[in-house]
Amino acid sequence: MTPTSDPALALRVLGISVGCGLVVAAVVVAFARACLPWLDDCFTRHEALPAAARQRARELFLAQLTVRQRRSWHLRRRFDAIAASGRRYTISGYRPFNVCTRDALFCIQIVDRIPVYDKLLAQKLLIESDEQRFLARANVRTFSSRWRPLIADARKQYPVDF
Amino acid sequence: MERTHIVRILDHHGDTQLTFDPADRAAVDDLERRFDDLMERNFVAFDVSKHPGRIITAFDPGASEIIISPRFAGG
Repeated sequence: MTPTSDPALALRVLGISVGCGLVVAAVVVAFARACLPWLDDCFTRHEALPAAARQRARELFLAQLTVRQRRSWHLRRRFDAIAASGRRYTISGYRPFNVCTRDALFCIQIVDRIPVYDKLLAQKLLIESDEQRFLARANVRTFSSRWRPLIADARKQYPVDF
Repeated sequence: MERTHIVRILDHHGDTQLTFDPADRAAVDDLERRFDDLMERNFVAFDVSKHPGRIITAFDPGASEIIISPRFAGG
């Protein structure tokens, strides 16, 4: 078989290829979107809480994220919470030390039996609302010396449990 | 025009929503009592009417949306 030199035919083949590509991409995107709640459910199933509670928490969590945070969560399962100081904390799936910066890991837990999405939302709200309280309470792992004075200041400001 | 404000308490149901009209004195007093009770148990309240939110320690009927979380602890 020899390659065709007919430009009209080549254009048709190109058009059909692009069309097929777009259809496949649309199907993949639709499938991924349909799978998101299922993936989220897998992600949070270990909580042993009713599915309705998990779903409700997920809806509230997503509603409270900014557009950028929501996009990041959908694509990468993590998002950035920016504190008033401008410091950027990345929150990923709820587990010990799920909050991080470039040079530190932070562990802050929510002491109650609530859905994971509620816990992620609480972490985000705390960082964005009052970074000092977050630093005062969180367990920190870092090799960077810059956090030591910040944490000492925060713990001086919030010495008691809150 | 009546404005309905909302308080969401994060719990094992996902959250419990309490709506109130800030002009309704009885409803505000009732919510204030409940709010104070939660604060005594070290819950943390966020006024998320505007982004970014802010922590509140006293009930603010003017806040259109409040989210109350259980207490935090270092891991």
